[in-house]
Amino acid sequence: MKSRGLGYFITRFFLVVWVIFALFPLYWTLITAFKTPIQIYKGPFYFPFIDFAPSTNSWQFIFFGDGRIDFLRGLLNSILYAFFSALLSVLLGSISAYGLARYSYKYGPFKNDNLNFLIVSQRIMPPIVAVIALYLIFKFLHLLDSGFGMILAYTWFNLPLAVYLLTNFFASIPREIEYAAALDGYSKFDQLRKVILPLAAPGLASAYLLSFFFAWNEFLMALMLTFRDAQTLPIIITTIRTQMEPKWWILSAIAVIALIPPSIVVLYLDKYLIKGTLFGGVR
Amino acid sequence: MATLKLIDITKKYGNVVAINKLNLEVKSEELLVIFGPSGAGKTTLLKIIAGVEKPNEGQIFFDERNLNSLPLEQRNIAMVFENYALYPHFTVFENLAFPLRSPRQVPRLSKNEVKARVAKIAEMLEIQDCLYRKPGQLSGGQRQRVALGRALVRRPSLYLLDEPIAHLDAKLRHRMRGELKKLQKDMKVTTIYATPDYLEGLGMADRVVFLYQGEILQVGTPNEIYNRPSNVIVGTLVGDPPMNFFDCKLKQIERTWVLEILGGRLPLPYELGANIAKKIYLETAGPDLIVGIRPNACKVENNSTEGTFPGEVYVSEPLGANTILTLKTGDAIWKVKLEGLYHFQVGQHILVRIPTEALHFFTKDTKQRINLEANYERS
Amino acid sequence: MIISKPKKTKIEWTKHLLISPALLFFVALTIFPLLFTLFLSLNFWAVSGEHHWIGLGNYIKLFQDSIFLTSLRNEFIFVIFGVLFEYIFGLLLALVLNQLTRGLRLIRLAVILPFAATPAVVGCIWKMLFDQSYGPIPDLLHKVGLTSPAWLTQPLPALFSIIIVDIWEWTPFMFLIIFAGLKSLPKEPFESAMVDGASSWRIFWDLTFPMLMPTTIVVILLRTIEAFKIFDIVFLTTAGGPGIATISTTLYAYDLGLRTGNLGYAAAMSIILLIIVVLILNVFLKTIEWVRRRSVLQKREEALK
Repeated sequence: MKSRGLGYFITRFFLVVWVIFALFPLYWTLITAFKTPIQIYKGPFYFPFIDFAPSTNSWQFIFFGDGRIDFLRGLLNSILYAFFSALLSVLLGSISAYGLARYSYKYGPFKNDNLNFLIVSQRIMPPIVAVIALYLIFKFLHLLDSGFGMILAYTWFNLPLAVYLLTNFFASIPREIEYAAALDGYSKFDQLRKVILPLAAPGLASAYLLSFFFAWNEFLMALMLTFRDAQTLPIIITTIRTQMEPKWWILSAIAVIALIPPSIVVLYLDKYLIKGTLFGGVR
Repeated sequence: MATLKLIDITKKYGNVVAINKLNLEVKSEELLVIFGPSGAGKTTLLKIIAGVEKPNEGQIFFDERNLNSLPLEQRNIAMVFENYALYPHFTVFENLAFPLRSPRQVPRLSKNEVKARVAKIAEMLEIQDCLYRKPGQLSGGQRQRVALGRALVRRPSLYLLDEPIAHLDAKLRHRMRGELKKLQKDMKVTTIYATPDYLEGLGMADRVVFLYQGEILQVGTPNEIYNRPSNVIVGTLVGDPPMNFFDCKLKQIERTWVLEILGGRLPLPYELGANIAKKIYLETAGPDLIVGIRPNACKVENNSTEGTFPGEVYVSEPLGANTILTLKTGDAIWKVKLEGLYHFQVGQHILVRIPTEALHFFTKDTKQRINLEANYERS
Repeated sequence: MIISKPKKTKIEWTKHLLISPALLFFVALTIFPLLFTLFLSLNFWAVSGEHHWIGLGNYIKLFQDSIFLTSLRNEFIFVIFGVLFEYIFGLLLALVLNQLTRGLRLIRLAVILPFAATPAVVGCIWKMLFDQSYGPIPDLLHKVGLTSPAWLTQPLPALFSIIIVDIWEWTPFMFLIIFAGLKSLPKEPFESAMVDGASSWRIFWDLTFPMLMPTTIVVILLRTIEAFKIFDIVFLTTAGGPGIATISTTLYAYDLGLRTGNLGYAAAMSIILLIIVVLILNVFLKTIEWVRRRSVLQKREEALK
């Protein structure tokens, strides 16, 4: 029987503290979404059913009451933009990734690895640098405050990540499998359809979910490139916030909704992360 | 008539020449073994024939048809890759059935026919129990058999097998050798089989191509390769233990041709000596040459007679049916393989007879075989 | 000698087609805006469209702009403290969770969850939490008998608050990558060290930490690049305040660009930020190279002794 030293308790204590630290804000938001204005202004209450009686008035407000126009619009926009931009990112990204993984390129001094790096280096640039110019460009093209513009912007935003992930993924599928399918009599198109695509499916799914995640959580571009019709959920939250007495209860309700999709993505990807198949792996 | 012709095939990877101006003709329905050590270029050659790699120079003709610009899927070739290349998302059954379901499969097979063929091949390769598992769940040997099965399940014009039984255990390998040879004869399909294992190669082949560093050193029947190696390298790599080679001089002493070898003298039959002399003096104008003798051609003697040489036992390896002795004579280290089980002590001095009939002669500089008339060679 | 070149042109054509969409996007939406922003930075350009060339005028003004300089100071504060603590906590979490056997999945999920939250939403949540009158954090501090600093309304506590929120949001990211790195380390050295009776501290310092060095470098590099972009949290928690105490460069640029409409000036600011990030990246990479080369030389010296 090994004796449990001080170190053991300290580490376990740290873990507990951290978990509380991590979860408390989320917990607080959740319960605040079920509070009435009075319950908020009377001072913080911590336990539903114990020190305060939960109500659904914020939910009614955002789904059925006056808040529903803005809220539902924001929600719909967020869903649409994330959904479609992720789709486009993965579509375009996988085409390029397949090329990068299978063929060797040379544009002037740039070869495959450089190209990969170039595309990924877009992440190094602070978005504000591009967004300022994008603002004027969108203004000129009448794309401001439009769904189409936002989907375009988000596709651009996520493309480097998609290309990077998918290139690794395709590279991990041995070329011989394609040769084997070719020798077995299948055309390139059939090879892709019957062999490559099924094998790449997990990678494509992960890239899609990740792109969806980042598009959903994006803020700066939405802030600068929209002002009414095309606003996303995070923007709606800020409009509610910019008032004298911020309506915490409504804010919390919207926050809870906003937290659901990315949480689902993270939960789903966690399974992949641990298996290590996020970055490619074919036996 | 399905003959494959390779003309002046050259393949370079950057500055490295993997295949150098290779010319080869593969006869219809034969089992041709491409034998060579690793790095010789066997896999590269097979890949070029299959179309996976394109040669830098040269042409490939199959049945008078130029394959150079023909895409892989139209070549009607089946190949077993070194790393199997199984479809990881298909079960073993689906892997085997995949070629049979391709659009190029003519005539189209019914579901039952597919099932039957797969079952037959699976049974022959002893993988019928794995049919519904995925490759990831199989052992290396099982995967290899699935790869083999996937190629065999078809009726292509040409089989390319790249070390297809390398990872199987000895017993199964032995059995597969026989099965594959029989199958090939039954199916009457031209087959090219690459292997670094000389026993396997010589055992299965109709003809053998000895490939070394991208060049063909010898083409011939297994018999020819074994008994008349064209080159010191061929002699070394074919046979276990490898052929012994000695630097010798050929001298004429009082009208007898004598080989100065192993610090001693070995008299040669007159005509043999004269012929060799003629050849080497013509080419090199010197008495030096290389002589090879297989370890199993030597015999241990008790009495010192003409043609025997002393040797000090360096290592003695009793191996069941044979005994391999490593001997030291002067500076030379050489091996002798005896039938039967013997026990020799390290340091023991023995006498070994070197029969002149079993000698192979090679020129010293080019290391090529000196070919002599039929009378003086083993058949 | 017959030289065969089968189908080369067709393959070339296809492969260029494959990569062109991504490259096009890259050029259209990265290179072009970058150049355009650069161009903007050399102009006076109002939102209304009115513009004229002023060369380096914006840049000169910037370096005399105390707000801008404050924002740069803040950037470095956020990056240095943020990355430092996030790394330490992430490492600790990874080490502790690596030893857990029960409940690993659940706890790991709890640790990762903050990262899933939309940064903008996070900003709102913490603004709520820090609220002097109605927020739980001051309330809890009072209940324990401590005085609560004016979290969001005094300059120094406000900086703290931002850093705390940043740590809350980003430590999971560090944890994830370090944890993956930890898992991929070979077991044998640790097993033999334990057999030799090494203490946990020794094992960590002599084995774990050095072996994690590549992961450490990657994760700090990635996070540093991201940290300079800080915007959402500041915007929503303190709006850069009180006054300008917590303003970040991106926030200032946004404010100037959109709110007051001086796009040229905002553009110049963005370019400076970009240059700083690229410089730091280079310094970082060069330092790593230098350290690596030095350790190789050291090892060579020792081997020759």
